[in-house]
Amino acid sequence: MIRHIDLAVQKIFEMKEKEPAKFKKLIDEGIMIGLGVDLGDRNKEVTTADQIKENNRPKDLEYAAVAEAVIAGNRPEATKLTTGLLEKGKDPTDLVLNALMPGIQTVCELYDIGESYVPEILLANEALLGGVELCQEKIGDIPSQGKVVSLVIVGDLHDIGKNIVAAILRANGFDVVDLGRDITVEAAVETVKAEKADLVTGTTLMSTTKVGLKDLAEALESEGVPVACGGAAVDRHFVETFANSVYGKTPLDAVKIAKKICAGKSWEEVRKELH
Amino acid sequence: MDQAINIDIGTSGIRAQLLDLTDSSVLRTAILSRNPLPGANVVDHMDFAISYGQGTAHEILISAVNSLIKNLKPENPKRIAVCGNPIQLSLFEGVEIRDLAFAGKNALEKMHVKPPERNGHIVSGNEIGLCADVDVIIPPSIRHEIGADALAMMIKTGFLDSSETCMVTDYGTNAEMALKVDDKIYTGSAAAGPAMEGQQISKGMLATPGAIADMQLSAGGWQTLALDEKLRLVEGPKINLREGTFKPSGYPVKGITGTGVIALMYAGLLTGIIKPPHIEGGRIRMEKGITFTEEDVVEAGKAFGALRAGHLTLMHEAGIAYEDLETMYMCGASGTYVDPHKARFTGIVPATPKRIVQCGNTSLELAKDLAFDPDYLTCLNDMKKSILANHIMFASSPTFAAIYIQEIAFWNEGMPLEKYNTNLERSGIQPIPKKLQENIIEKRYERDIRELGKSLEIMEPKCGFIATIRCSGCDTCVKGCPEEALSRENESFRINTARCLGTACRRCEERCPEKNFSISDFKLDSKDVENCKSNFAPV
Repeated sequence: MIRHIDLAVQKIFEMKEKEPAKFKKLIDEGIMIGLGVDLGDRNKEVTTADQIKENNRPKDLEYAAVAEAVIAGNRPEATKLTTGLLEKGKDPTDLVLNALMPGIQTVCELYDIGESYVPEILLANEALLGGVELCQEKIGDIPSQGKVVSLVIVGDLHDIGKNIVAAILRANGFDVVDLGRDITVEAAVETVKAEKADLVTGTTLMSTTKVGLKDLAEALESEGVPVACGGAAVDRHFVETFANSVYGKTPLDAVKIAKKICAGKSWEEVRKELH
Repeated sequence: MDQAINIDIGTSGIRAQLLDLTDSSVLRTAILSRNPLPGANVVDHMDFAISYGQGTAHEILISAVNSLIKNLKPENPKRIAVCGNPIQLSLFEGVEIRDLAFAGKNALEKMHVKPPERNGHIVSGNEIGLCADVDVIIPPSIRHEIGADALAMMIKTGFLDSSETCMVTDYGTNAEMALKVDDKIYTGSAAAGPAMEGQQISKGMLATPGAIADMQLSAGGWQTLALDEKLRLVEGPKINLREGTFKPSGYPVKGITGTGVIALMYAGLLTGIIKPPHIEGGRIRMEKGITFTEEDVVEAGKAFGALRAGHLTLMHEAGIAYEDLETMYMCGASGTYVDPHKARFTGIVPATPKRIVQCGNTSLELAKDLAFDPDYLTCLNDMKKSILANHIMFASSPTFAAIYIQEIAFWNEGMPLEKYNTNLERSGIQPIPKKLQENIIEKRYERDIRELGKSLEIMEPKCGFIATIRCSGCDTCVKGCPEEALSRENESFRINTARCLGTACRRCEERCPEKNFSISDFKLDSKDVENCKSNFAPV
C-alpha cells in the first residue's frame, strides 16, 4: 500500500515539474470534483475559441499561415500563400488536407459554439476555394468523403442557402460541384451522371418551384442518387410525399445526410435516422 | 346620386370604399381583414392558383371583393377602380400569372409562357364575375416587376415630382421600394414577409381595432397604444419588460400589428431584453394569452433585414451614400402608424434622411383617383412609357445577397453590428450608419386610410372550400391545422380559405393516417359565392 502511494506521489511531483499546466489542470479538476461539479459537462463548456484554433492549427508554420488566411476569409492571401508553397514543391493533396481544410474546419467549429457567423463561413469558403482550385490544377481530384452536387431548382434564383450548404459540405471534406441556380432537372441529371455524384442537395425558397425537387428526386431514382432537400418553402412533410429524398432543416443537416449517404446508407435508412 | 368604388387588393387584406361622384367624397369604408386566398404571401397565393387552378383562385378573390361591395351597399355605382401588385391584380382579373411565379427564366421557357402586357385598361364587371356590371378600371404595371401599387406610391407621395434624392417604401408583406437620383429611378421589391402587417407573428393581426400598434416609455413600464374602433390610438395594457409582467388596463387588446411589433422590438433591443435571436426569459407577455416569442423575434428580424438590405442595395446600385438621402416617404398602414424614430432604430428606415414623410395607403388613393376620373388611366399609361426605371431583382442581386447574409447573421445568430459593417466594407459596400441623424418628421394623415367616410366596417372573408370525405373521423387533420382553418361535421369538411396557409402547409393532407384526405377534392362552396353577391340592380 505505502509503496503504491509513494509511487503515486513521486509521479505527481514529476508531473508538477515536467508538465506544470497539466498538473494544475488535474488539481483544479480534483477540487471541482470535490465541490460536486460534473466534469463531463464542464469540459464541453470550456471549449473556447482559442482552444478550437489551437487544436486545428497546423504544426508547420507555413501551413498555419494558409489556415489563418482561410479563417480570416482572405482569398487573395490564401491564393498567394498556396501558390508559393506549390512552387516550393509541396504536395498539393497534403496542402489541401493539412493546410486549407483545417482553416475552414476551425471556422465551422467556431460557428458551432456561436463564435463565428454565416457570413464568415462564406468568406472562408471563398478563400478555401481559391487555394483548392490551384491544388486541383496540379493533381486533378483530391481525396474526399464523397461527391455532392449542389443546386437551386429550376424557376428559383434564391441561392444564399445553397451557398451556405456548399461551404459547410466542403468544410467537412466533401467534393462539391456547385451547379448554381435555376437548374433544370435534365441539367442536374446530366451532371450527376458525368460527375458520378453520391448525393444532390436541392434547395428552393419559393413555394411555386418546390415541386421541381420532387421531379429531380424521381428522375434520379434509377441512378440511385438521392436528393437532400431544403429551403424556406420546403418542409419534412413535403419531402416525405416522394421517394429518393431526405429533408434537411439546417446546413449542418446536409453534412449529416452526406456523411450517411456516402457511408453507403440508403435514403430510406437516412430518413429513418434523421426525420 | 352617382357612386363609384375604389379597391386596394393587398396581400394581407383588401380595402374598399364607396365614393360619391357628385361631391367627390368618401361615403363608407369596408376592410377585409385577410386576403381570402390560401397562403401567407403572394408566392403562396400564386402556387395555390397554379396548383388548384387559376379559375378557382380568381373565383375566391372575386367572391371576397363581391362581399365587400355588398357591405358598402352601393346604390348607383358607375364604375370600380382597383389597385394592387401585379399578382393580386392578375388573379383578380383572371389573366396569366405564371410569368410572375418564377424568379428564374428556365422554368418559363420550358412552359412557353408569354407575359401579358399589363397596360392600364378597362374590363366589364360581368366579364370578370363581379356582381356589379360596371366598368372596372385596372391601372398599368410600369414593367413586369413594378406594379400599379409601386406606381401609386411614387405618384401619391410626391416622390415622382421631387427633384431631391429621395426614397419611398410601401411597408407591406411585399415591400415595394424606389430610390430617385436625378431623373433615374431604382426600384426593388423585398419579400419582407407578413410580419410587417402583423401576420406570421404568433399573436399578430392587421391594423384593425384591438391591435397593439405602438408602445411608449412611461412611469412604471411601457404603455401600449392600441387601435380603437375608429382606428385611433388609445392606451392599452402597460408592460414591464424587466419583470416580465403586464398590467391589464385601458382598451382591450386582441393582438399586435406590424407597427406594434416594431415598437416592441425597439423597446426590447433598447432595454437589452431582446438580444436577437433571444428574449430574456424566453418571451414577452403583453396581456393574458398574448405573448411575443423568440420565433417572433426571428420572424420580425427577417422582415426588418429584408427592408434594410433592400434599401442599401438600391443605394449601392445608384452609387449614393446614406448621407445623400434627403427625404424618405413611408406608405402603407405600417408606414403610417409606425413611430419613425423606432423605425430608424430597427433599421427599416435608413438613419440618414433629413425628412421623413408618412403618407398613408397610396394604393387605395390611386384607385380613388381613377374612380373619380377614369381618364386619368391614359395619363398613367403615358407615364408607364416615360418612367426611366431600373429594376433590381433582389433574388438575383449579388449585392443584396451580400447584405442579406449579414442580416441573417445579425438577427438569427446574434452577430454584432461591428462585424456586420466590417463584412460589408470587405465586399465594397458602405457600412450601416450607427448614429441616427437629426430629421424632420411630417405626418400627413392621421390614419392610413385618408378618409373613412361615415362608417368603417371590418369583416373576415368567409369563403369556404368544402368536400365530403368518408373516413373514421379521427380529426387528426382538424387538430393538426395550425390556423384552425379546417372543420368537420360528420363527413363534411370545410376549409376557411383566408386562414388556410395553402400549399406551403398541407399538414391536413400529409397527416391523414388513412391517406384519405386530398385538398384537390375540395370545391368552392357555391352557397358562399352566392351569399357574397349583393342584390342591387346596377343601372
